[in-house]
Amino acid sequence: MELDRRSFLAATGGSLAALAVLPEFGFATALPHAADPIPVALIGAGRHGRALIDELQKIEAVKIAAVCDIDQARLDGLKRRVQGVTGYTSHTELLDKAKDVKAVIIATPTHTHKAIALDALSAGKHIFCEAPLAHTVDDCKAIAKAASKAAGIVFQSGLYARSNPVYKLARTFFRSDSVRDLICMRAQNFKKQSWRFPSSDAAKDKEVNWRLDPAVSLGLAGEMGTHQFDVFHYYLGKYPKSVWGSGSLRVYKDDGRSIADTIHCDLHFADGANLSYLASICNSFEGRFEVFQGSNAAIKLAWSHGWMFKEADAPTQGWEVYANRQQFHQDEGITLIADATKLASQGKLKDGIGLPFSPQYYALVDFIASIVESKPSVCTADEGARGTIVGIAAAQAVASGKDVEITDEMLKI
Amino acid sequence: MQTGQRGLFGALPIFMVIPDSTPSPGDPVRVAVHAACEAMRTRFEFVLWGSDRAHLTAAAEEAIEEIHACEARLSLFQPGSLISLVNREAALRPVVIDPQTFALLELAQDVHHQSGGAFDITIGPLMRAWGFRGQEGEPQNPLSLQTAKWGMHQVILDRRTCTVRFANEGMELDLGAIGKGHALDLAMACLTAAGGGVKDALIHAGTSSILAIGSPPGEDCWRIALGPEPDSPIVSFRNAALGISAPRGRTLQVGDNEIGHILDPRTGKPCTSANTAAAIYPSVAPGFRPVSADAAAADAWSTAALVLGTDLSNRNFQPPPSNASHPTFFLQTFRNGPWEIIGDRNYAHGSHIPSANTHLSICPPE
Repeated sequence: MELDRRSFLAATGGSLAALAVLPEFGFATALPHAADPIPVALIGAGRHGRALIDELQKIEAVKIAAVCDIDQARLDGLKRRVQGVTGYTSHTELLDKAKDVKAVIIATPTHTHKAIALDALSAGKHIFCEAPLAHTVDDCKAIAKAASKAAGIVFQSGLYARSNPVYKLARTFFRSDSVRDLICMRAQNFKKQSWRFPSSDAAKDKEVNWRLDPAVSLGLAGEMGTHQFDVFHYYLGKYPKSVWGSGSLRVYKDDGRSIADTIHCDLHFADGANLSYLASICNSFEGRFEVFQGSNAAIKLAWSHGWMFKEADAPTQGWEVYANRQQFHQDEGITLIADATKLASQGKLKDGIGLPFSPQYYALVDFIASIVESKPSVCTADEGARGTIVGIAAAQAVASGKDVEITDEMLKI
Repeated sequence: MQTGQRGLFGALPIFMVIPDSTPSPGDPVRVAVHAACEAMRTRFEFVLWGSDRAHLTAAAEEAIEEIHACEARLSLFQPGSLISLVNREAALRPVVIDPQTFALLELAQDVHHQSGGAFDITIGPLMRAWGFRGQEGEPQNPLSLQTAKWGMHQVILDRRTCTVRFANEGMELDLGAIGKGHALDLAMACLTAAGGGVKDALIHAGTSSILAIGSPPGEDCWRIALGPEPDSPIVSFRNAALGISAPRGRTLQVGDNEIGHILDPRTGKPCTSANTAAAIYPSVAPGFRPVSADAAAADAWSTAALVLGTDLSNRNFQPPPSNASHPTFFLQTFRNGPWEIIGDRNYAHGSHIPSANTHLSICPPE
């Protein structure tokens, strides 16, 4: 399970050789080609489902055959976005009637993933399941075990760093020792948003606002943290051994919720490295990012963008002459751009800043490519389950205000 | 040559008049929620009235998400947007688009035909040639001015397959003159949907596109001043959309002349026919729910009205009624000049607004 950075260097022939080819890493994701587009169904018409449907429509190898949501109004809204799509108000009806559907995308509330995923696996569908995979450790393991038994089925967990070209590019820098000795890791997710969804029907309010229900919600640590913690799992090749957390209501004190609107977690790794994580829905400053700080450089990743901040005494690499730079107060960041040499030769270096498509798009392209080209999933159910279990532990730590151990047994599928 | 992006309120002349209302005794307690977001290179603002602050906030956030999704779909500046995809590939193959975007392109095509070509969403190459695109201060390119390709007739829409195709290479869709209205229409649909249930709301995009339903407490309508000057006319409306266009929103200095960013698609040259034009669409949909394209239509028609200028007021042009309702136009030919109102059934065609702070009611029957 673990692959440390030094082992990786030995395997890749050392940092200089690796760096020599790094800038040519491309954003151009090879689009899958299918003789006939793959019929796909989307289950879950919330905000995330709507974003996914917009991205799916850009992939030629996909035919959106069906959409599903238990709420008729939300379902109607989704149907308005896709020409000629069939709508269903239950996933069992969809699986029963839409026989031509080959793959399902699960974007429903976290605690409903297991039932849908297991039914879809039984029906022989390929699955893209949003992360967190589930709201309990048992459910995560149940999904992963079922997926491992489903021969010939692609199961991709929706942990987006694994498909994000900026994150993949930055990872090659990280794993070729650009940051050198890892000092600390930081991440945050700040977005001013109430986490409440409108519902005029009191009976539906609990269902619509499941994120505010402590019985099923993993809060900020689970819902947002799971995605960001996985960046560190992906880069380090290992999982934390324990997590401490705290949370409080800083703003939403009067609307009846108990799920913290602002949290802090510290994740501890076996070698003494720490990841400090802050998240809040009360402020938007600096948004979402993950940072690795080492003795030679820091790498900052921000969803669609990435930068490297080098120490003055760090060795200069040849490719840096092409680099585009951005100033952040006293620090100068080298923009991590794919195809940098090619773009520089065309005088278009600035065109390469930032992802051309949304991270969801690249994850869906990977999913379809795995189906069409019989390639391994870029993020298996096991990896999704383990990442989610770390998020669940973090949520427990926030709720209790105590350290929560993350044992090998917990992570064993 | 310099480009100038003026301040929001310097550039666009609409001001909302917020009443100091006192609820009547016995009325349920009403609260106002103000929300805002930055999208489409402008600021969207919401004023919602209702009885439950948390619910109104949640509804506003849902609408804001819709605006961001709309931007991700229509933006020319995001290479992964649907419109960027169309611009790259529609000359090579018919590109399947979603029904909402398709309906928007059909509306743009309708306004193009009905305005005699005064509105055109294919003038992107022309805008770039004049220097209204790209980096700040990017110079005008005389060569590209001669070779720029545009023309809505080269955009082929197929409703059956929900596809768009370009008849020639070099074409480009730019929904900048209609996209913000479209975003408002979708945002309002969110607010009024089953979950939202909002009944009194005013939302605007950079003050140049406004959509309102209902009214604030104690008022019959929302009131909007059409300019910063104290004698600017005030439009009172509910269940209606207002779009406003002015060349001075963004300007370029070409020699001694300052030119505005509204180009006349019929000539390829900057529009000089009017100072400001506004178009209002009163919704005729039953109840308070607006029809789906009020603000987009108002946006498009305000640009067309600015380009048509005096042709509009001289009755050389007669705007045909849209499916939903008749637009009403307000035209100010020169700065600080009189405002002319065209097309409203309550006013004589072409009559001038007689005095300061004239209130014009654009309130369709419930």
